[in-house]
Amino acid sequence: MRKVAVVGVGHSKFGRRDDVNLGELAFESIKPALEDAGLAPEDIPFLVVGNGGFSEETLPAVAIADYAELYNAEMLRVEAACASSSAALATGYHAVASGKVDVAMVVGCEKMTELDTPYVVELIGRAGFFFWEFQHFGLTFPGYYALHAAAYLNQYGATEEHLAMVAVKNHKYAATNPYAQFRQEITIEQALKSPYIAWPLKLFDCCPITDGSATVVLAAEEKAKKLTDTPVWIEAIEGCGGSANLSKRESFVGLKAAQVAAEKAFKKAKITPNKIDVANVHDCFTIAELMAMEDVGFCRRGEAYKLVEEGQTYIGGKIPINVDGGLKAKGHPIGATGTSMIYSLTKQLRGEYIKSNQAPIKNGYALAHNVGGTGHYAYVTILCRK
Amino acid sequence: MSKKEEKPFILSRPLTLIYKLPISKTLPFWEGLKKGKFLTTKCKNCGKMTFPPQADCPSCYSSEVEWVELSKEAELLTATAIMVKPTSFAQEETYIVAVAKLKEGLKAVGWLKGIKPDPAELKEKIKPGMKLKVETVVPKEGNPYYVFIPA
Repeated sequence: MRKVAVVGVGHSKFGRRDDVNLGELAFESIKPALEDAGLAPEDIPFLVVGNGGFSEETLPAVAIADYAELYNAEMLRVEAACASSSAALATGYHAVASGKVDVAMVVGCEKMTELDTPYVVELIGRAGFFFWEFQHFGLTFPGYYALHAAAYLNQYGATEEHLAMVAVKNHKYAATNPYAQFRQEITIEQALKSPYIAWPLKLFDCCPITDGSATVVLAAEEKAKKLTDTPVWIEAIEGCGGSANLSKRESFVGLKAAQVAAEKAFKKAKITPNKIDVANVHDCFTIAELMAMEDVGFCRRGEAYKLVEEGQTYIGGKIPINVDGGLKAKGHPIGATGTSMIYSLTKQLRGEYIKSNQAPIKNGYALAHNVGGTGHYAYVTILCRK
Repeated sequence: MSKKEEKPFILSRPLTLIYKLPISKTLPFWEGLKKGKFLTTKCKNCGKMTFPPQADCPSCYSSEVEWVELSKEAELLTATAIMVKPTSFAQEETYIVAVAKLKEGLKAVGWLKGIKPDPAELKEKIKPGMKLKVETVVPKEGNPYYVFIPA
């Protein structure tokens, strides 16, 4: 297997993007990613699109490739729910690492706001264990994470205030990220006063419904060194599936798929979690950030809320987490979230991120933790600048 | 979170999708509910019970399964109350969805009735280990289902 580097990244503005269709939105990240890599559309022999399927386009890869005229590329669309573009990144990585192609483009793109909110709630709720959990009992996506939140709060003595602290941090960093959906800081009081969506989760515990795209260009070692002086290497990208059916889950205080994916990724990269300088984890809900910290191994089970309380997940703390605003405040365009994480972390490792959001890079490692569903899919990617 | 003015758009052609969900292989479960019985499958080869029922054993892959009656005794593992509902549940009052452990060791997801879905009451009452029982429900219209109620 060959070494693979990220050689170009691009990002669209996230938010309610009712000014663009799927192809136009993807173009906003494809163009800067190609410019960053110093490549032209015809230089892309392999295109993977991560998309969860929320727009009117039933063949999203076709719509995107057609708009940007990426006609030289073998292409496919990959779905792994909210981890779709991490699955797409893994697919692109393998195409390059195996020697099939020297360059691959991975586009994460999602248009969610073409449907009114109750329909989006319906579609995402259906994307669990449909027949036994949605059809009869109307379990929603916030509901799935709320079941885990109730279990976590009951078991470890964390409170709804700890959940609010995660939201406050992520809003703080989104406020200075020009691509973020929410650009306002919030207070603990505001978060605690917001209405319940699925008890014990409130409005400010939930990520928004978002349109957005993020694109990553990958290259094999020899090609990468010709293209850039600052390649960011993919040291590991590992995934694992998990039970959608809640009745088959052993525990509701963590996500098994993410634990397995993280273990495999650290083994492959031959490092331990304390070597990570900055991380993006899948905070679709505030409780998800706490579980992710424990699933990845930044702390022991039941201790994440203590690190949050101490402010250790801010820049300057032990492990800066989601300092681009996270899904919570940057926004969560389902199929674009994985590549958006890679965008932020690549910029972080190059030392060229937004000044106020740049974490100190000591060991040169960053980690992306991207979950699909409630741990139905999980991908953990470890990047390195050395 | 400022409300921006909506940009120009064209409405798509409307599309209503209603799927036919096959239940041939789990029919005894649905028939059982109508008679007040709570049934599931047990593998004749390895003895593994599954919930929800399934026609093929996920443990030894045998397709020889038998139907067995469950005790209807359970205890609460975790629960949530759905305040923001999907379109197709819009007519329902706020409902509580629970994960419970059945006496037989299996877990099941279902509505929890008999508790007010009010944040203060939920905080006080939703505790792991709460004793529950399973009740079958046969509505005048629609499909039979089951709920949990405090024992």
